[in-house]
Amino acid sequence: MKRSLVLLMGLLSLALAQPYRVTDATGKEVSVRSLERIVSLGGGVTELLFALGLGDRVVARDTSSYFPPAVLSRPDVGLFFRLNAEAILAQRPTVVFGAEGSGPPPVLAQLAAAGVPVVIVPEPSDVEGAKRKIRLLAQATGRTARGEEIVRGLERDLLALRSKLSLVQGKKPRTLYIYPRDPRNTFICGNEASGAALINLAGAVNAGGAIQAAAGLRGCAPISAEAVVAARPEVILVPFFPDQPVSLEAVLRLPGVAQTPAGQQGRVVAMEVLYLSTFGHRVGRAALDLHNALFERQGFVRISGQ
Amino acid sequence: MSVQPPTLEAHRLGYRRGARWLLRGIDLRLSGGELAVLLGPNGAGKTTLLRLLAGELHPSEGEVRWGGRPLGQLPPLAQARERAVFSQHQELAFPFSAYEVAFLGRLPHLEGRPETSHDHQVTRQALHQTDSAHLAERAYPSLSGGEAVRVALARVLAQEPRLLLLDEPTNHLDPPHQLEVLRLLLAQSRAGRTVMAVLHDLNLAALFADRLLLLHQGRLVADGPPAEVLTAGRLEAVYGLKAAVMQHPSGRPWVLPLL
Amino acid sequence: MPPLSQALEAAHARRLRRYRLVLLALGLLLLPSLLLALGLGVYRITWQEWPQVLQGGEAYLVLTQIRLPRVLLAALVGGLWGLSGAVLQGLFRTPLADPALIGMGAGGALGAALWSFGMSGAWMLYGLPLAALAGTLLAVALVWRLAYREGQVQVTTLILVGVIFSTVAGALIGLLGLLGGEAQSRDFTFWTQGGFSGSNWALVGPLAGLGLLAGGLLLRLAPWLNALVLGEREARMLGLDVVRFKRRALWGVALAVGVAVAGGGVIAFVGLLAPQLFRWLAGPDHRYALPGALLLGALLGVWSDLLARLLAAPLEVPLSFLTALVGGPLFLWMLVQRVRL
Repeated sequence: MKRSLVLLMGLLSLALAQPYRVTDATGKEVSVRSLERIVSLGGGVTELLFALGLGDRVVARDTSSYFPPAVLSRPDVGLFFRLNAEAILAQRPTVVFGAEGSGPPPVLAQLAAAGVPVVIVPEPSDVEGAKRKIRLLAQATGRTARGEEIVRGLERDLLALRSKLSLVQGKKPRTLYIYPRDPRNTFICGNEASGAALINLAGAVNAGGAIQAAAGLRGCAPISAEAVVAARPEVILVPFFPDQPVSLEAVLRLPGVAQTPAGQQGRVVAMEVLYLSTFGHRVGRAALDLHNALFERQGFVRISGQ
Repeated sequence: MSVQPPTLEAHRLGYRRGARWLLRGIDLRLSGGELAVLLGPNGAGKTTLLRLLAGELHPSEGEVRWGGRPLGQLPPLAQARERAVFSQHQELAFPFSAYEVAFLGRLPHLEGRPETSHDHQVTRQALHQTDSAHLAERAYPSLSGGEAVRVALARVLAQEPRLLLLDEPTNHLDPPHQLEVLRLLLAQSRAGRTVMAVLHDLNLAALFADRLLLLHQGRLVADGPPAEVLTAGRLEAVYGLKAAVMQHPSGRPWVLPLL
Repeated sequence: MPPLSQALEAAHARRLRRYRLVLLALGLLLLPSLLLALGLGVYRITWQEWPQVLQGGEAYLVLTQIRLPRVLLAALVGGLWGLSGAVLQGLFRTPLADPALIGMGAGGALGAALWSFGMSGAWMLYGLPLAALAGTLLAVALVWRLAYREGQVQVTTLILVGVIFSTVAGALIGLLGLLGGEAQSRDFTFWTQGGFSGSNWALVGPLAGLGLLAGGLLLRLAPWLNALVLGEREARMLGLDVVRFKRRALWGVALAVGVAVAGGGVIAFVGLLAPQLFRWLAGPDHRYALPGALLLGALLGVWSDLLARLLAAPLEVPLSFLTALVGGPLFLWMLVQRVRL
């Protein structure tokens, strides 16, 4: 009896000492030995770490991480794509979790050379990708059970969304995503920053699709007022940043907007940027909230992620 | 001087800009020991001739020889060791002291070796000779026109050339300094240097020059001692000037313009 | 020796002493500045910890792999900007010349932009400095070609062509920004703000070699830059092959600026300010002003980088903002003092 207990304890401690192994988004095999001090880079990564229950282990974050609000008290090590190795090492991290695009690569190499494991977490643009991301981070942190819970939560949200979609009668609202970079120009984005993904998920029609295809946009560019009107959007969707006020008037002043059906009826949905653009554990809820705003509300709607 | 100094020669020298000939058919021969002065009305080609003789411009016709060899074909540094040119002074962008400006004359001799006290001695002497030693520590851009000219002359002298070419070195100078400069140039020529200066003052030229060269519309119309060259007839033909040529107490000709 | 001669000699000796003293002081300031910059940073290492640290470990890595290349690069880049500025000011005979003036900064930026928006991933990063260097050299070649007429290169033509080139390059960069992806646009924008944050030995090693080469080429130009101050005709009469000299000077500056831009982006003001500061402290003789501007530039580089790292730690202030914010008022103050620059 004593021997088997000792054996059990031995195995247990062995299991506890075992590092978590994961293949990260760059295809590298990374071993995570300790989660004592985590540096988190990328808003989506940070919010997921908190959801996995590791929020109190996060000692530092990047500029784009502001959710949940508790993380704002942690020191800001800079922009995730333009890192400074010393600032991160100054936090004495035991592991760094970074969103895809963290860099520059020499800095990541410097961190690795200093013995700090760096796990790059993918930035997905679809639901399956979101689930993979949750599972990857769960595996890297040894929280696989919690990870599965989160995935199931996501699937429940998506189920609720599906049932709402099936009840939809009538037209799907044409929704145009405008990036508010410049108060005098209407910026439409292609690919990565397009907002199209969430619009489609919420069951609406992406009014910007034709523009994006025609202009072959990869980044964001100012679009002529006429093109905006030709897109005939019934709702305008704009992201807002937590420290920036967003006003209906400012959006309506953008070239072309006032002449669209959306502009004439004042139908603008402002959605907090991280909530809008991250495909992570909250994406189901985000899609639901967006769906409600697009299909069931009128006028100016503000969706924050809380 | 035991070695005969080289001669400056021009054979059938001509210079053209575009279709216009600025100089044509210039033949001359200058030796060390004599002070030659180039005269002529504005636009006659004096500065062009000086630049050709200096090796700065390439002749369109004919050639310039120094000691029997074409000067303009030597590398710039070798040229600078033989001849120095004084031209109208320009604005200096940085506040070098007058001493530093005069010292620049030593540059052609400093290539490949560090500066020595001899270089500074030569510079100091040049400043003394041009009566600008007391200006040495002043910032060159702050000097008056006349002071700057004397310092620039010092630079030219510090270069220790065998051929000295000067374009209007007496501009901006008051009469006592004008005389001093010409005395200096005469002394330089007596020391064996070949010296040619462009002057616009006929009488100053007549007082000091051993030879006068008169340019008119790009051609050399007279070459000889002042008494020979400065005649009333020639002055009228070249300058359109009615003048009487008197005799200066020194025996040299003196031009008196008639009204 | 007559008294006036003695006075001249004494004055000359005084002048020499001043030049040498200032150079010596600058040189003596450099090593302590480097050590200070090495010792300070967001990763706390107290002076007492140094002996242990030098034996190995994470702090040792921070010192040798992160801070040391960075500090050396800042000194190198600053020194190259300062030296290039001094040479260009002598070449163009104006205290207002700046390497950015004749299209050099724009050339480097355009090279970097073309590479940023054309490549992606690791390739993008490692090739970027090379692209910036190539861009600078090509820009100078183009500008020289356009300004070379009848065996001569007029300074005013050179500046004019350079300004036009800068404008066109700027427009092209803007266009590339529109066509490129959001991430690349953002990356490039931050690159243009200048800084040494990602420094590592793989970058610093080769750049140091090229930078030393450029420095050596440029320092030798000093005596003849003095002659050029009198004007091109005078310099030629003093023995300078003016066209050849201009070409050598320009290419030397192109290499120096190319390396500087490759190492730290386009950094404002150092090229303009370092030579002027030296002239104010000591004098305009290029034989002292060139190494002086190099040392001053290096000091400015090291100190600005240190401030950039410390002012808003752990964030980094973009270097160009710092140099403009400090250099601008300093320059204005010097003008107000009506200092002879």
